[in-house]
Amino acid sequence: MDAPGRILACALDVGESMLICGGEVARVEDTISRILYAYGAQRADIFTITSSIVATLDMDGQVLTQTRRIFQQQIDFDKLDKLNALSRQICRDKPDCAALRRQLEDIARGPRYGRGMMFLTYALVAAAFSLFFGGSFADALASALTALALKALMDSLGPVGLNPVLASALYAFAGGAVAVLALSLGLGDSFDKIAIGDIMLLIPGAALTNALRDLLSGDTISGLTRLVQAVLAAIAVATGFALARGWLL
Amino acid sequence: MDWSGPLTALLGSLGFSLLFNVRGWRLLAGALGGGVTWALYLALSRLTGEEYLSYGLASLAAALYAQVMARWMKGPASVFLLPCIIPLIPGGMLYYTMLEMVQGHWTQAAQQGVATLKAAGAIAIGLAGASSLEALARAVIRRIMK
Repeated sequence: MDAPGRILACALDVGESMLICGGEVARVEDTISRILYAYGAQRADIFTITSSIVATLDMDGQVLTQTRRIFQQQIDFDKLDKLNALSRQICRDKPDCAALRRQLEDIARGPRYGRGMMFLTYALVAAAFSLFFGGSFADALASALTALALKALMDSLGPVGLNPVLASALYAFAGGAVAVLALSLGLGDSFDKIAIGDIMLLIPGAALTNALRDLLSGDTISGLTRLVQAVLAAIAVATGFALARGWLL
Repeated sequence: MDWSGPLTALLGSLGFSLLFNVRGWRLLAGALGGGVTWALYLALSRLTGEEYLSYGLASLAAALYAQVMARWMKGPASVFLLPCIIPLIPGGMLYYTMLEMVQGHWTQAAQQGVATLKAAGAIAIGLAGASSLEALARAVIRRIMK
């Protein structure tokens, strides 16, 4: 059996990965403590917020604390699903840390949809929500084309590391400019109906929902952190489009 | 009934599931959930005439559906919940709030802003209601099993 320090590090590895791919705070805390108790902890105290995990383990007469700093989230539900299954398996089989690390690496290398598929998805989401909010088919087409331009811009500017709120506003303004261009070329009927499809893409809906859930399950700090981030980003996006409409149209 | 709303909601939820790297049958579960959630919202708001009550009840139903799917397909509830909730998120209202604000129409901006907050609040209460119902159901089952 591994030393308590190694076990704690492994449990934190699982929790850290879960938090990064979009697990709720309560689930992360629950997972880490279940793993620690499964390996024979006398006591385990875990405190998690969106940007950090702190865990203290009392085992075999040793008391240890380790922390992890989480910088950014990348929602990946396939990974979350696999990590969830892994944590059940860990509690059942109690594998040693080396085996566990290998499984974590396998999950980290897991499949993602390709670039082409992501472009198609952007177009699909924008067109669907343009129609959803009452746009015409021409609006939906313009919205889909705008989304393709947006995705290309995001892919090329993503690695630069701009301030995330400013970047959201910039993407939205650029999207608005493309929508104005489409309208002036005779494609689409209403700026608002074109814009709304792309707004739904840029607005952090997942973060907003998770924020509300954290807040209501008593994880107030995480909830507030996520809520403020989500609201700032949403305001930046809506403002970017609204400014493009005001200045360019 | 006009099916274009639920149908486009379904496609939008499918798209978001793809963005979140959902795979296999779970894609179908999320997309259908999104379409049905929106259909339910439309039906409720027509039936009751209460917009925010309908938001709350639809999000409650979506969260219960996600919990059932999580049990059945053995995965975290988030995977099913987020795609279902996406059509309810008041993105349109938020945009119109900002639009009025940028144009200096403060009264309309305030009206739209309050409407956006109410919708978000109703969704949050629906989600909280679902997790309380789950806790209640667990307690009842434990009592019966004893």
